Amino acid sequence: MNTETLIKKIETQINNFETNVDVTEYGIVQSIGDGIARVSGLSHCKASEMIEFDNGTMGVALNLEEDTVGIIVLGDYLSIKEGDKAKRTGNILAIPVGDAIVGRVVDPLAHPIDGKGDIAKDVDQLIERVAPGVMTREPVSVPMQTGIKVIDALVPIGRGQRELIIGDRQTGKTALAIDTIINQKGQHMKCVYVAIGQKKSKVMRAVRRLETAGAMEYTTIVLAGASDPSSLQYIAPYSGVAIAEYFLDKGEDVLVVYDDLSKHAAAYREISLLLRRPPGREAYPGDVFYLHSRLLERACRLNADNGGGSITALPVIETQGGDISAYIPTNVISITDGQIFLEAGLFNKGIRPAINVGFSVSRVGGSAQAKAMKKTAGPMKLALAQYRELESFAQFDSDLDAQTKATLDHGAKSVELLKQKQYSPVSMPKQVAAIYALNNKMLDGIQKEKVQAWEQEFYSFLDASKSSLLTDIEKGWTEDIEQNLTSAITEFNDVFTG
Amino acid sequence: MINSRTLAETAVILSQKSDAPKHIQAFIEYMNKNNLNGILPQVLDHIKRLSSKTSEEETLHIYSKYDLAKKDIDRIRTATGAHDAHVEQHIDNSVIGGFNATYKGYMYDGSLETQVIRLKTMLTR
Repeated sequence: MNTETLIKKIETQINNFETNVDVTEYGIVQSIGDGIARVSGLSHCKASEMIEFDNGTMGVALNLEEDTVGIIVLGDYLSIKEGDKAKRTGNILAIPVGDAIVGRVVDPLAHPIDGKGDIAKDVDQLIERVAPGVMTREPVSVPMQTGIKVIDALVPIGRGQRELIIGDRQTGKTALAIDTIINQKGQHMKCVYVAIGQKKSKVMRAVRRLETAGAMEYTTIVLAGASDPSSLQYIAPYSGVAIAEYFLDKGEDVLVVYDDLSKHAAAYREISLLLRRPPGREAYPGDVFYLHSRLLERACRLNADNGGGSITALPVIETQGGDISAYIPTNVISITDGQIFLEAGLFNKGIRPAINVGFSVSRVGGSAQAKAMKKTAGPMKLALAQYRELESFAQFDSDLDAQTKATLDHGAKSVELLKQKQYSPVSMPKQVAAIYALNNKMLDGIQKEKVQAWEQEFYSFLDASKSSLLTDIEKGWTEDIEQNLTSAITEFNDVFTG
Repeated sequence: MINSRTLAETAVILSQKSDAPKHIQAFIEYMNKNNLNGILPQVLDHIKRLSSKTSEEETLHIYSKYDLAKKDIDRIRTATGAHDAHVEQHIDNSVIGGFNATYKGYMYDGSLETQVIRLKTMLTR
C-alpha cells in the first residue's frame, strides 16, 4: 500500500467518525474505609462490575444492596473521599493477558512489578469464568512429573488434577511447589505461581531460584504480598487461573500453584466482615466453600475437540499444629483430587520432603502414572505400609525375629531412598531404576547410611553408561527392560561395594 | 428496631402521596404512640439530606472551559433529557473543549479529549 492510499484510508475513517456523548452511570461514595467503599446511586450496577473512582483507582462491586453498592477497592483507597464520584465501566473484572506475560512478575491486575517494562496484551481475560463443562473434559491420563520421588511414586499427579499440598508452617510446602515448577523444564508446560499474602522477600527468593534454574522461561508469578490490600489478595488466585486459561485456550498444558489458600480465605473473611456479610464458622462467610470450589473447578483436562489443554492446580494450605480437620483444610481436601500431607515431625527427623505417605493420597493420579512407575511403585507402597506398622517395635531390636528385622531394615532403606534434597528433581526413569533396585532387595548389602550415596552414584552410572536404558524405561516396561535393568544394577553394585 | 433513616424515607414517600396531610398526620401519631419523638431531630436531618440529594440529582450540572451560549445549553438539555431541569454551569479548565455534564446519576462526556481518544482507538484498531 502506498502512502497516498494510506492517507486516503485514514481520511475516510476520520470523515466517517461520529462524535457522540458518552453516557455513564455514576454514584456517590457514602463511606470509605479499610478498602471497602459504599456507593449510592449505582442502580444498574452488575455484580463483579469494575467501578472507577475519581482518583482513577478501580474497584469491584461485590455487594448489591437496596440503597448502596459495596465495592472492594483494588489499590489506593486513602485518597478516595466521601462524596467522590464512582463511575460504572460496564465491564466485568478482566486482566490483560498475552504471550509476553511468561517470565514476568505481575500484580493481581496483571500490571508488571518486576521493572522490566510493559507487557503486550493479546486479550482481556475475565477473572471470573465458569469452569469447563462435563462434555468438554477428559479423564486425567497424562502424568505431570514433579521430579520428587515420593510424589511421583506414591502420590502421582496427572495433568488436569487438583492436588492439595497441606502442612504446618516451615514444613517445605513452597519448596515442593517450586521444585515441581523447576522440573517442568522441557515438559511443554507453562507454570503460574500465585503468591497470596506472602512476604515479598520470600517470593523474591523463589523468583531468583526459578531464574537460576531457568524456570522463569515458562513461569509467570502473580504476587499479592502481605502488605497488599486484602482485595488484591482475594482476586490473586482468580488472576492466576485467568492467565492459565489464556494458555489453556491455546491448547497448552499449564500448572498453577496457589500459595496459599489459607491466607486467601482469611483475606476473603476480612472483606466479607467489612461488607457486613453474616459470619459463620470461624467467622468465615457462608460462601467460603464456593470461594475455593469455583476456583479449583477451573482446573481441568479438555478433550481434543476443545484444544486438549489442561490446567493442573496445586493449592497450598497451611495448617495449625497439624490439624487437618479445621474448617478451610477440610473444605479444600474435599474439593481436590487428593492431598500431599507434610508433617513437622518428619521434617525435624530429617526426612525431607517431609511427606506423610499414610495421610497423602492421589485419587486420580494413578491412572496417569507411567507404566514403568506403576509396576515398580506398588511393592514400595506395601513395604512402607508394613514398615509403618512395625516401626514402633524397632526399639526392641534384639527381641525381634529375623523376618521382622528384615522388614524394618527394608522399610528404613525405602524411607532413606525417598529422601531428596531441595531443587534437585530426579527424572522418572532414574526414579524407576532406584525403586526397582530397592524392591528387588538389591540394596540389602548396602548400609542404610550409604543408601543416598549409592543413589547418587547410581544415577551418574546410568547417565554415563546406560542412557539408552533410561530412554527405554521412559517409553514403557517390558521383560527385556527389566532384565537389562537388573544386570545394570548388579554391574553397578559390584563396583560400589567392591 | 426502626431507625431514623427508615422513618425519614417513609415520611418523604408519604409526603408525595395525593392525600399527604392525612398520611403525615398518621405518621406523627405513629411516632407519638411508639415513643419515637426523641429521634425526630435525626429524622429531620435525614429528610433534609434526602431532599438536598434529590434536588442535586434534579439539577443539570454543565462543566466547560467557557460559559456556554443558551443555544448550546439547549442542545445539552436535549442530549441529556433534562428539558425542564434547573441548570448550573461550572467553569472547568481541565475540559479543553466540548463539555461534561451530570444529571440524575448519569455523566455525559462530550469533551474534546474523549472524542480524540475514541478517534485514536478507532484508527489504531
